[in-house]
Amino acid sequence: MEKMPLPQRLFRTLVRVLPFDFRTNYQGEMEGVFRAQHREVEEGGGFLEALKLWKETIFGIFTTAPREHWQILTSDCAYAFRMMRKNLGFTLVAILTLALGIGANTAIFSVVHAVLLKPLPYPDGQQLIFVRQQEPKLGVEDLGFSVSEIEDYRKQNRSLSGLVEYHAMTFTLFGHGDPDRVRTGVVSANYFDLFGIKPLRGRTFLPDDDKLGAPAVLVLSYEYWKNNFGADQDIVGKTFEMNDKVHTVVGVLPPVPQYPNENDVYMPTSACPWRSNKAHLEMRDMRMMEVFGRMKPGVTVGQASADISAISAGLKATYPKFYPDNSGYGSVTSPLQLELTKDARPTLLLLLAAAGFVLLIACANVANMTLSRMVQRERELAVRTALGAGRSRLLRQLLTESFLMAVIGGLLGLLFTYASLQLLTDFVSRLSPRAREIHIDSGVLLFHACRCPGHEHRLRYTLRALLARQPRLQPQRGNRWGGLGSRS
Amino acid sequence: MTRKKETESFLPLTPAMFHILLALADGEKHGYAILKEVARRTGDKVRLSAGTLYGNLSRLESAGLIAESTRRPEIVLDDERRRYYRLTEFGREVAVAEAERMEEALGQARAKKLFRKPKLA
Repeated sequence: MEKMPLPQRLFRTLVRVLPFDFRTNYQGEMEGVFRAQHREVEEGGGFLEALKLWKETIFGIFTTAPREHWQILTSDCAYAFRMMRKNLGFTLVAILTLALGIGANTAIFSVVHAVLLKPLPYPDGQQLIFVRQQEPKLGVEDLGFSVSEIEDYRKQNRSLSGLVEYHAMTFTLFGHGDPDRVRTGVVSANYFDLFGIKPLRGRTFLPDDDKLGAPAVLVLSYEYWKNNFGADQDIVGKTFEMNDKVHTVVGVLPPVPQYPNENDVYMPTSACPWRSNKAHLEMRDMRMMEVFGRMKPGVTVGQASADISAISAGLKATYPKFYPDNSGYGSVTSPLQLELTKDARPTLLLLLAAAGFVLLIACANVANMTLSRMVQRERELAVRTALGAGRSRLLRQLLTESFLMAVIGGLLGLLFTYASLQLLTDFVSRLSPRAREIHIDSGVLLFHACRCPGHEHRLRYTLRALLARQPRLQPQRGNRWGGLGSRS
Repeated sequence: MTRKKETESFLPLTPAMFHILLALADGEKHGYAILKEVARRTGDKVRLSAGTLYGNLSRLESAGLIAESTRRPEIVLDDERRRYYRLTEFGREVAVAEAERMEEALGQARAKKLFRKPKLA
């Protein structure tokens, strides 16, 4: 067999971007026209002319292809809608089943993604750690830290670029209408710097704010500023009374998730009447604080953990009175992300598995229904094949039908997701402070919608049916009606 | 839809479509002949590629403006791989309507002195 010249082979490859039906109708002629055009250019002998011909040819094919594909898609969609209307019962049940499967999975996966998988919304969030002292032999998993202990860990560690303390209190704020009970985060001066949070207005705390006797200052959370002060642009500098002291607002936080708790306002440790009293400052066993740290670049959690444990061992040796042998005293260092989600993890993974099974059952149901429908549609497929529809044309039609059903199911699933997400968020907020980061994940929704469970079964069934009937259904030139011979 | 409205629904035609209808106005032609006729008539200003030509032929055929001709040239002149296309009655009406539309636009351009009437030889 004579080998086809390169330009024609290239042209044939190019033409493959056009729809199958179009090629069936016109490919032979198009090749003939291109052959003639190319021959003319060769005879003219102009390289530039040849270049121009290729440019026009490529442009022509690539502008024609999308139009032709679109035309087929619109006619397939119209046909699919007609079929769906004709089989309303099947369509409604299939769409509802898909919507439930897609909705449940999207909701659960959105929660899992926001709470377990997504990195913390802070710069280099993976470098943040949570340190816990514990006495396992006495059944105390979280002992808390005293001021003296925090100072020891801060001075002696070699693996952290920063170590901050936190505890939450509820105080009464006076000075703007009725007295207001506010959840207050009491934090080290460099607390927000350690997390990498830049203030929306004003500033956060300075080292001088944290000195005993310094003027009391407050930083407001974004939500508290917005809800209680109507996002007052001049809030910085305003004063309020709290704990019998005048507090000046120095800044407002941006709308970021707050860990480990959502607070209304923040104050430096020196302003907290409990934290700054003499007993708390001096007594090693007056523990009420939590501790966060940021690892130095390149330091692993294992290295930081070993460093912190060595300090704990040192404290135990130095102050045996406060760390008795029978308590099993020690410290645990874990990534902050893990710490914030440890209570939610088993429940969410269980829910994810359950939702996976729901999708699996939905898949099986829709696939079964589709399979039964396909048996009923055998004759229709045979007629279309006999009229000249190619295998790929039929597959394309069936894929369009599946795709449409998936899109409608996906949209309905989105409504289910919206309806259920608030319930899930309320539930998860009891298990993890990351619950507020939950929102519908568009990527997940698209993934579920694309994986319309009917696709594979339709394709497989259609291929099998068509292959089994190949001798009868193969359209013959000059005898387009031959495929129906044995059925009519 | 009335015939006139149906005709007008195709207007304005794209330049490629109009030139294809013009090429078929004086008789049946195969694809390559249409392409050559358009290039000759426009002094190579309108060059149709194979993709553009058959994309337009497909659309004109589905809209009923052209149809595949059953008449073939004599066997010695015929190439059986080629298909011949002819202008349908409806296609002719659409081409006429498009020409009239263009003439009207040209008249308006002349009235605004945007275009001079060509001198008759």
